[in-house]
Amino acid sequence: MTAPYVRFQGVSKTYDGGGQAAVAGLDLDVAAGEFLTLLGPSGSGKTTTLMMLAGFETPSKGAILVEGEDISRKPAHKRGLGMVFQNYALFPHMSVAQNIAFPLQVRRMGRADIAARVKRALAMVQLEGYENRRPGQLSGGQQQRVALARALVFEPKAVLMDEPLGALDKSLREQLQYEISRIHRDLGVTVLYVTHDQSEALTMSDRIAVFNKGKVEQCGAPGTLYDAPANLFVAGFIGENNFVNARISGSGEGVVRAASPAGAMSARSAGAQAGLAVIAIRPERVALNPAAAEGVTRLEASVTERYFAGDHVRLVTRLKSGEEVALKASRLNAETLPQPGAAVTIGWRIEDAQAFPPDTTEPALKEPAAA
Amino acid sequence: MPDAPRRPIPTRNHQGLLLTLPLLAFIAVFFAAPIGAMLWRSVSNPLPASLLPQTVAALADWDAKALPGESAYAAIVADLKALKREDAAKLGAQLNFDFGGLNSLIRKTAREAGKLEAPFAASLPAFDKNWARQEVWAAIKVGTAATTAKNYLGAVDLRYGPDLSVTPVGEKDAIYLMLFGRTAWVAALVTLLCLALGYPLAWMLANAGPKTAGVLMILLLLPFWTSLLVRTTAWIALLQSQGVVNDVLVWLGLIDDKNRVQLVYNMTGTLIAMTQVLLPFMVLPLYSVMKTIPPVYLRAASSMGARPFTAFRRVYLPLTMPGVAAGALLVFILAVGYYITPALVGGSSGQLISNLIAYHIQQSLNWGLGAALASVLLAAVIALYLVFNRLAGADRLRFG
Repeated sequence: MTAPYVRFQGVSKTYDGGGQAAVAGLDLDVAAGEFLTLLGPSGSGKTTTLMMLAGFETPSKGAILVEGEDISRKPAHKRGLGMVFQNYALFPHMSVAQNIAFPLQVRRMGRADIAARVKRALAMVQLEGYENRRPGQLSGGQQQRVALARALVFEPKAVLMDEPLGALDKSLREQLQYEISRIHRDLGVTVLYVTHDQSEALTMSDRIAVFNKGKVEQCGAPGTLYDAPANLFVAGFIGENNFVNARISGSGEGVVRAASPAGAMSARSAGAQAGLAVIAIRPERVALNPAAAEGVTRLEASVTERYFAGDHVRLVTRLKSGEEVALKASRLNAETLPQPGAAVTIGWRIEDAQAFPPDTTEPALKEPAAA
Repeated sequence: MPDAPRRPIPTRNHQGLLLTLPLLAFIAVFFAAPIGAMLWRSVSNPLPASLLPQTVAALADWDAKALPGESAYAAIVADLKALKREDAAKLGAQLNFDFGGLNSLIRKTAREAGKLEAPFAASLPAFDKNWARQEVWAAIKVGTAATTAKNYLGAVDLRYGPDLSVTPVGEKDAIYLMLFGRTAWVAALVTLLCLALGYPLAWMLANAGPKTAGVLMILLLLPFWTSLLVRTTAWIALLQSQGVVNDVLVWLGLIDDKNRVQLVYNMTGTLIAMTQVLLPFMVLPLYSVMKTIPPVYLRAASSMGARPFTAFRRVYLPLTMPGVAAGALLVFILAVGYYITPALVGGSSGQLISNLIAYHIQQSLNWGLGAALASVLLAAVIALYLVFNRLAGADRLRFG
């Protein structure tokens, strides 16, 4: 990785009136040309972080460097960063072309130059011929394309996007996801993208920073976050996960053995060493009636629900401990799949499950009944 | 995709219409009818013609190139002889509007008409030499026309001359055009002052927290709820030369005690008091428009590199134009017809056209001229509204 294009250095933001910090001691590097997504539940500080970079919020502590220069006290209009807002923020009194020309006009660019760039920007978002429409005459998707063109037309080095697809319906959202990815590839522009939609983040990003309570829980490539979450929060927030509480009975070589009323189980250690652990296992990694073998966890369970989900069948099973484990069963032999009420064995291989130390701040996870 | 055109919601509209009938009747009786009567009054003048029927007939073909013939003299003597004393007084008062001095001439002649002998073309001028003046006869012909344009001519400083051609009135009588001009000028100034003072206030109202906005709104509306008369009187107490403002200025040493500033009973007083009174009419439409402008537009503008002033000029100001236009129209139209405030604090240099209209209705009793002045004012306001509608589109205005 080259020298970071954007660097957050110990950035904190607290609002007047005290209370919890919106952002607490954030350290984050963004490489030039990278697509970095700030992902987190609402109130996790991701939008505040973006607004501090854009210049609409001032950090209470720390520095924000862009190309090595501290810009945290610089007014927004001098930062030269493009921005796409959730509700488009297109100027309703200007036509599409005037909206896109706006950042060029405030830069006192020549008339002919502006016309040429507006044309190119409209072609980039596939809206040729819409120059003279008003924003109110466009659909939501078209408006967001115009907003995209407007944020990119002055060739900023970085574009900040604040939940840009949040107001669109699902199919349009997916279509625009691919379009934004393509534009990012074509232009090589740095993108900081805020969303609470983890599937959107997984699809588009080079890296994802998972925010929770003002802190980054984990920052890494989508695959890393999905397959090797650093903690319970990330494991629960990215993708779907089953959690089984257990008490560790032994460990070694990165493997944890544990037991609970559901039975004996083993998993890769993800920080859990002794005492209580939470075993996380993704539904697509749960096997139905696995053959007994070295290192395979097998637990007795009963099927409680069965859903048809198109490309797979979703089964919900209940362990003897009362905990529920969902699994995705292939439809290859759907007729042999158990019906609700049937007794089954479920299980997983060691490498498919992870043992986390319990998150003491999550009240939902409790001590398993005595083993 | 644009939505399909919306069909009107089918309701029983006729029943709803019935509910507005009392209001329509009220408007018809107390608004439309008086305006119609005023318009009619400005062109209609039936009284003199009914009191001087023979004179009207005799002067019908008079070309006003020379004194009328014996028939006209005989007719007016006959008419005046038949007049009752109080009718002669009414007639004199009416005709005096067209020619100063006609009042006494008519009454005097009516008293003595029985003693005059034919030929009246000789005996009448001998009785009073004014009867040998062509302008007296011209004034009688103009004054006895049952329908006349003389009031409208008067309203724009014109009159019928001795030969019945339209001529400008004398320089010292030409006050109405000047007053219309002054009224428009004062209204424009008040509108500008209200805009300059009201725009930032409306912005604060729209962007402050709910608590501050509530207090500001009350401060804005509190004077609005007190009587106009009380507020105007308060301005006198504040602005007069021994008033609060002057006392403070003297106390601060900014002015000398002997050179107190004349802030009231002149144009300054009119401007200050009218601006204060009309300010809410500017702020409320502005506020209602600003309330709907999300701050994200300004953020978007600055993210694209616009300095705060540029963002304001290119984005915020154009978005508030419907409010600016509505507020300006409202304040201007109200100011053009303003009466109480200039009457109380305006002195003589701060009088506006409405004060002259009131003068003609209440004191000089020249209702025809008063009605004509009011009609011209009404026409000017309607014309202004139409021009404005063409330029700005009244359907896009937001009045609050």
